[in-house]
Amino acid sequence: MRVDTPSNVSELRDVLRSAVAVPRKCSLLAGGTDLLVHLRASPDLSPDLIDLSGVKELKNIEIHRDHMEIGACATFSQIEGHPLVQERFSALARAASLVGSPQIRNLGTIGGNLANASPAADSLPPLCALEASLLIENAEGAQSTLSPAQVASAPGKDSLHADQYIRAVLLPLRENLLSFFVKTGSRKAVAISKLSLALALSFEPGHVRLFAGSLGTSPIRMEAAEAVLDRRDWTEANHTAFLDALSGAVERAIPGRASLPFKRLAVRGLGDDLWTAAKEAISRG
Amino acid sequence: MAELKYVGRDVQRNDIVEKASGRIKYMGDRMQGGAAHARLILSPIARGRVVSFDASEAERMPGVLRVFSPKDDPGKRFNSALFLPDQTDLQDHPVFTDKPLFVGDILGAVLAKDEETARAAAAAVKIGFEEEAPLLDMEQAALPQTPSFREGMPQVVEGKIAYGEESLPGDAIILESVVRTQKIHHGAMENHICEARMEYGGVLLVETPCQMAFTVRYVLADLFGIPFNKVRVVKTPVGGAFGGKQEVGIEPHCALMALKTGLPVRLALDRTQTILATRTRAASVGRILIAADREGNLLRREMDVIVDAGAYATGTQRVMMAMGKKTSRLYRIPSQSFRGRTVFTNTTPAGACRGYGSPQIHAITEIAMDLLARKLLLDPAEFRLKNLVHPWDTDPAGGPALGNARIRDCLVRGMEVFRWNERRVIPSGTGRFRRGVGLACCTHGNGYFGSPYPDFMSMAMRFCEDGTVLVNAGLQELGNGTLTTIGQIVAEVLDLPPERVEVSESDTSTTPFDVGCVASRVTYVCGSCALELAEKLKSRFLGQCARVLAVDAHRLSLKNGNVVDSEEGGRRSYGGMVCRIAKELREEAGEYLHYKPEANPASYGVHFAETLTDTLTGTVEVTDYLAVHDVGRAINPRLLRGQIYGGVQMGVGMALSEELVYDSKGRPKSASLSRYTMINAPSMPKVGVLLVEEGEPGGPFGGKSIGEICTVPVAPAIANAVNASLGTMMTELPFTPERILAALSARRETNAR
Ligand SMILES: Cc1cc2nc3c(=O)[nH]c(=O)nc-3n(C[C@H](O)[C@H](O)[C@H](O)COP(=O)(O)OP(=O)(O)OC[C@H]3O[C@@H](n4cnc5c(N)ncnc54)[C@H](O)[C@@H]3O)c2cc1C
Repeated sequence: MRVDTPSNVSELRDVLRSAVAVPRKCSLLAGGTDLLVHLRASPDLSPDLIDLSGVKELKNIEIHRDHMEIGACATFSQIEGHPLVQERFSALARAASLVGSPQIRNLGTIGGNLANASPAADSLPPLCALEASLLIENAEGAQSTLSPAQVASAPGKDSLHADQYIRAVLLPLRENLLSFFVKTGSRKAVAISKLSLALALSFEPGHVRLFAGSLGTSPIRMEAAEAVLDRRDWTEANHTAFLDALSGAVERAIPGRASLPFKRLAVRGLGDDLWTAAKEAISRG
Repeated sequence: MAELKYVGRDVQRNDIVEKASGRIKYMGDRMQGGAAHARLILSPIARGRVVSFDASEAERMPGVLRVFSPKDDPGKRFNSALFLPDQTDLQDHPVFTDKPLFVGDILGAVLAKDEETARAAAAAVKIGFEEEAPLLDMEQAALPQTPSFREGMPQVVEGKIAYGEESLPGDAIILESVVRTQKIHHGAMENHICEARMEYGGVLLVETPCQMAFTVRYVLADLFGIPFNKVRVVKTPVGGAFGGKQEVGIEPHCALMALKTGLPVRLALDRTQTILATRTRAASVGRILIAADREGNLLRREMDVIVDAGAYATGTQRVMMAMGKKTSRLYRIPSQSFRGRTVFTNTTPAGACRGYGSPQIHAITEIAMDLLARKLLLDPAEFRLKNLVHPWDTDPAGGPALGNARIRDCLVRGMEVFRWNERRVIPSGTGRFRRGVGLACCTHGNGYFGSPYPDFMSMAMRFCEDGTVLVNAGLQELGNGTLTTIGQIVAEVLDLPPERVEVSESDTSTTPFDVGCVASRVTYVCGSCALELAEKLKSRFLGQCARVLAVDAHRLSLKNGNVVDSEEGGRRSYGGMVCRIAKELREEAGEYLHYKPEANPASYGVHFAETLTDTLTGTVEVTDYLAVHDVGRAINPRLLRGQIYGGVQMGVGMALSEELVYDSKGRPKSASLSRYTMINAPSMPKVGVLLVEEGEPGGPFGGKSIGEICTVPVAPAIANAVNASLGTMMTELPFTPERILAALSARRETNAR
């Protein structure tokens, strides 16, 4: 087994170029919290590895004029503790803080989470709600963007070519944006999400994005519930309408699935959490 | 009694530094090399037949030494729980099978020069199967028309225990219920591992982190037809066992490979293999009927319990009978019947698991007790107090007397500390989150006395030339502090610091016989053996000293490492005297004891739980917890509390999240720790511990068991709290969010009708 350890993007491009030229079976390695589990379960795979963890440009979290750029190798610990992520993209900070255990968060990266694209990947719903796009780069340095859903809908990084990698996550900066993330699993911590919701909304009506995780290969947008929420009507009747809309969306998303009876009810609990949080934040002003 | 120096104190455990610093060498920490590495090949199908076994690709891989297939099976069948020839448990277990009976059944193995090669080669063996439909449902498995899938073996093994009049008074209040408990993985941190090699003189040496070294010896010698004295089983450091290493597990496979190749063989399982291919806690379905009068006095109980053995007999029939035997030792009930049926399904075999059936039977009876209390409009605690046994009661079913049974003290004191009366009447609320409290009582044993399995042990004990003491015993430290507590008992009698007492573990060639670290027998039985032997050694040693010093033995006593002469006032070190005894008397300052317990009293416990249930997501949080135990006497209170914390952690998992489930083809859906949810620290409540120490006759310094019983009442206590807070009557463990929401929906629908 061959392991390359590029220390900057230009070395990474060289490694990728030679890997495609041969061509050989190759995997990008970030934190390894998904990949190593996978490789241990399938000893016949044993690909060569390209270790991204030393590529310094990939670890940065930077704020630009109209967007924030989170390097693909930023760890969940970095993201959850970053003051600007907490302030501007609290749903993402919250989701990061709920990933696995401290040990996993110290290693696991946002790029790995996206490329691995489990239906339960916790970064996906907030990124969808926050209108993120992924910056993809190839061995020649050519850049393009993909939506998180595009990457997620083709798990096992089939949506990326062999010489491509996720360079960064780009998050547009919106004024007065609130965002929230909630999940439920089989225990309080170190739990795979059975269901999650991410909500982003502006103070003033007109902008609401609500996505559910763990319902399909990529997060499901819950438009009817968004509309109910956008009324900004915090009455009990509207609260019920909101929860009903969520249940309805779950029913449409996974008809006939064994988990439906549970998820159509549990989504109301997560919805109630979001409702309370949004109501409080907005009435606080 | 004079004040005790070491017993009853938080003596530091003997292995604390090695364990806390990570320096202890578990078998998995041994460097690779020096042995061939084996990897098991497990069946991916739940039932069928191997029609082709193609190892050619694997055999061509560099580093592969040999591939074992079903053809290498010795032909003889074994039972992994059996340790004497009179034991009638079905012998139905092959080593390598060509007729797999569950996903995880062992078909063969690859032996290679290192672990990676063995893994890769095992994955490269191509096996063809003819599949048959598996039998997965234990209730279906119990039906008379269900044929056995195990050639020539019964599909159901029955057992009954009953006493008293069968009739029921006409005006009795009756509760009938069906309680289900799930199949559970032990979850020890250390996966199963074993090493076997041929030693000089044709001795088969097997090193294994086991709980019953002599049972391993029995099974191996019997299975392979080797003289018993040519099989040497050595117990290695255990990284958690919980009953999962009680029965013989992978030792036969490892030994077979060593015998066939002459190579030292190391066989290690990973987590998924440990979940699939070893043992589980037996699932059970209990139909229960309880009758009481209007005041809440119990009149009769009837229990009909099905216990799922999985695919092989193992020790499940014993577990089933152990369940029945607990039912006559907690409440005074004029008449009772218990029928148990052990059935077979195409799932991972069951076997011993902390509590040996007690958690299952107490879940059945204690959840039902609460439902009856509700029907009687009684406080569940008051209802129990009316019926609990009293100290020195006998067992109406003919089991050993209960001894100093202090369950009533546990309940009364626990109610006070937990503020039960106050908290029970607080309404659970009408909002999204509902709070409630619940409790459950339980009993467990102290050894095998009074059962079909003989309980006895021997030990040797000697002073060394420096005055340290060596206890030569076939013990098994499982992480619970056995060696430390035995050391404390000996140190107390011989009056020397516990760190100067070295207690050995099982080596079947060098330590005297012991049944094993099972049946909650170690403190009560082995501790008493150590105590009696220490006293015997003390009197021999004092006699020897008296002869050497030519004084009357009555003048001499042992004091903090010195032999003290009360008249002359001189102090002589133990070590100095040992050397003089050796030289002048040509004797060793040592003794040997054959010990057999003559009682098997009951241990007791009551647990109190407070839960907070989210009625929208169905998640349950255990917000407060109190464990009260009748332990006779805490030899080492800190270690004892440690047992309770761990027991509660396992029990919360049984109550809320742990469950081995299968799809319709018998493939496990939770064969890894990411899908099999054990309770971790953030989900643990703060656990309060209250000990009732009234002394148990026959136990060392009055001590009795704690290690198993502390996990027994957890699930029903939590279940009762949840049912109380939601007004539900849930009886299927675990109470997952899915089940909670389903129960709430069902209740809403009934209310709407
Ligand atoms: C105990 C445990 C708990 C966990 N809990 C959670 C949880 O709560 N929520 C959750 O969402 N996940 C959880 N995970 C999964 C995992 O930790 C995350 O998905 C993590 O983000 C993966 O990142 P990584 O850096 O470790 O990826 P790696 O394992 O290194 O890589 C994963 C995949 O992504 C590819 N890859 C990595 N980086 C890039 C890149 N820059 N461009 C292209 N492809 C790339 C790799 O080739 C590989 O295929 C858990 C895992 C474990 C072991």
